[in-house]
Amino acid sequence: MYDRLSSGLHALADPTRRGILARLASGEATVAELSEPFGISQPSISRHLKVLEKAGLIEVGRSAQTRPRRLRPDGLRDITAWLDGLRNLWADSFDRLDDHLNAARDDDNDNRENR
Amino acid sequence: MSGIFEISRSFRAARDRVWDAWTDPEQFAVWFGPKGSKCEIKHFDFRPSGYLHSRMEGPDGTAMWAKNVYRMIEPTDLIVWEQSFADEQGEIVAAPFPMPWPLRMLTTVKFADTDGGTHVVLTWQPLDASAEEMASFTTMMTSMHGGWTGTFDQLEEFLRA
Repeated sequence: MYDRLSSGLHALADPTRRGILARLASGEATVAELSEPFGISQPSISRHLKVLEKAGLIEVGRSAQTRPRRLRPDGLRDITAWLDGLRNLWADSFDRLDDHLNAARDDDNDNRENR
Repeated sequence: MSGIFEISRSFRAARDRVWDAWTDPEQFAVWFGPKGSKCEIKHFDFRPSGYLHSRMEGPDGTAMWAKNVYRMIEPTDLIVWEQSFADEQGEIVAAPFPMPWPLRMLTTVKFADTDGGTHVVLTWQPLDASAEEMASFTTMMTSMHGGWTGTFDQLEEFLRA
C-alpha cells in the first residue's frame, strides 16, 4: 500500500505529469497527441507516461496500434483519499470542533430550560 | 511559496469554551482527527516542555501515534507546540509513509474574540526541514489551491462518470 502511495505521490509531484492526467481526464490520447500541447519531445512524454503507468495511474487503451493512454480510475482513488485525509486534517477537525462546541451549547441551553 | 500552511475558522462559542476544547484532553479527543477517526489521549502534560501523546485510529482501522511537545502556552490567547509522528512509547519517529516529510512541525494556534464567538487561526510550519521535505510539504499542504485542485476536479468528474 505504502509503495503504491509513494510512487503515486512521486508521479503527481511533477506539473507536466499532472497536466498529462488532466488531459487524459477528457479522453484517451496517444504519445503524439500528448507531446504537441505540452511542447516536449515524444521520448520525454514517454518517460513521464512510464512513471504514471508504474504508479498505476494510467494504462494503455484498446488500440494496439496507436497505444493510446487513458486514466486508471482505481489507481487514483487510494491516493486522493489518503492525500485528502492529511490535507484536510485540520479542516475536518475544525468541522468536528464546531459540532462539539454546538453540542455543548445545546446541552447548556437544555439544562437552563430544565432548571 | 512560503512553506506555511494556515487555516482559520470562527466558532460560535465564547473564548473560554473554545480554549477548553483545545486544552482539556477529554474534549480534544472528541474532535481532533479526520472524520470517522478515533483519538485516544495516552499522556497529557499541559505546560511548556510537557507533551501530549495520542493514538489515532482511522476509519479503516489503521493506527498512528502522534506526539505534541508544548512550547508556549498563553491562556486564552495562544498555544504553540511541536507536532510529530511517534511510536507507541512516545518516541518521535519519521512519518509512516515513504515520502520526504518533516520530522517536526511547529503548530501555532491563536484565539481571538470575534462578533458572537471566537476566531481561531492555526499554522503549520516545518521545523529543520530539508529542501526535499519542504518541497513535499508544500506540494501537499499549500500548493493545492493553485496546483492540484484543477486536476483533481477533473479527475473527480472522471471518476464519477
